[in-house]
Amino acid sequence: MKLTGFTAKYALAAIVFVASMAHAESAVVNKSVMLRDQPYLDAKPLGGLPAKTAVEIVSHQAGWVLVNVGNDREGWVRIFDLDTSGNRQPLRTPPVPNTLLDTVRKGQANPEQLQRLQQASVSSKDAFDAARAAGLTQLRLDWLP
Amino acid sequence: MKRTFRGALSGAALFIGQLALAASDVAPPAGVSDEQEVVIGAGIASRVLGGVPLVDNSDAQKLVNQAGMWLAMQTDRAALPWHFGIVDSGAIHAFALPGGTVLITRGLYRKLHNEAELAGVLSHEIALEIRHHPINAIQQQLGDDWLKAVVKQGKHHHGDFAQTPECEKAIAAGVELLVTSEDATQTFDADQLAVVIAARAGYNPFGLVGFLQTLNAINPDDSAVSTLKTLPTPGSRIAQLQKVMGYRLDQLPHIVSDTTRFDLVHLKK
Repeated sequence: MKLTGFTAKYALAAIVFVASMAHAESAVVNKSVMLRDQPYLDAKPLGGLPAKTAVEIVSHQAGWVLVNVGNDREGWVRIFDLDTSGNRQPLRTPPVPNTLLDTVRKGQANPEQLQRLQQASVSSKDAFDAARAAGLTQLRLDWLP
Repeated sequence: MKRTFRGALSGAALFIGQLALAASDVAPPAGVSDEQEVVIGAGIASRVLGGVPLVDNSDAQKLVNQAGMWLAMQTDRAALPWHFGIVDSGAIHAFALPGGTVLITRGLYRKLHNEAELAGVLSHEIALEIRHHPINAIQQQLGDDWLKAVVKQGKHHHGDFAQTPECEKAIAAGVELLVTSEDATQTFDADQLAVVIAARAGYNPFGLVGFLQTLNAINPDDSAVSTLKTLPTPGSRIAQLQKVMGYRLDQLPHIVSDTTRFDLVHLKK
């Protein structure tokens, strides 16, 4: 089936929507914080959240996270105010061994795979063009002190 | 020609703060030449790929190379022959090999939510490269005599370095050091550099924090993260980033988290 431009556009939008849904994860606020209506420190406060309040992560914007605190009530908190460690899943039983290192250590040189790796590289011009197409704008920024 | 303000912004690099530091401010020179480092890195990559081959997904490999090269271009080691790859392992790990080769696992890639998180991970590995940590770890392991022989070989160009015993020793040591070569100080330092590298490339610098929060939600005894046990915990890395970032990177213009090219790449389990 050949997609028209219109159909393809909405098919793409559906893919992006599904990808954003996959982002939903839970966390707790790690201290008492203010929920805000925009991702800014001086944005309108929507009410305080006591430490350990459970939230669902909806989306990210810079250093802020849009969270759902239940009853479809949403607002923004700083990313550093969220703790995801309480979301840890129990271990699978029996545990699956991580064989990555053993496998690597036993590996013999593989020139064919190395060539594939090297051939997949891109030039700086290609990287620049791809970055522009992806909407990335270069900033000049000093290292953090 | 009339240009809009937005067009003028996107048409030229934006300047914030001071110029990037010179190379000598970032990393001390290693005794091994860049050319020798690249040869050693290729030898280690060949061994690693002999154990865990590249994922057979050309779109995904293209994406990590486009993003990785763009990030590397924001550093003073942009001229290295950078290679990025996703290897076929369900474990969650990333490797920086000497000379500009960065490998991440399929297991790690599948935990990423957006391209800013990918940029955070790649930038951490690139930061290790601009500090010369992978080659310095090998240098420390093999000692002064090895280094003297390598430097002498570099000065006099005695044959093909790849065929020398020194190169063979470095490759063997590099494979053994893949997981243990990064200490806590280096991890925190690479995280601090990584958020700036990502921001310079136009990515949301908090992508790395988002990925670390994902790691923090994984049971540390889960076998998928057992190779990360030598690193500081994700929680301590987030806390350290909070200290150094503060609100400094909150108001950057035009930063990007989500891209269509990332959303269109899907890796199988």
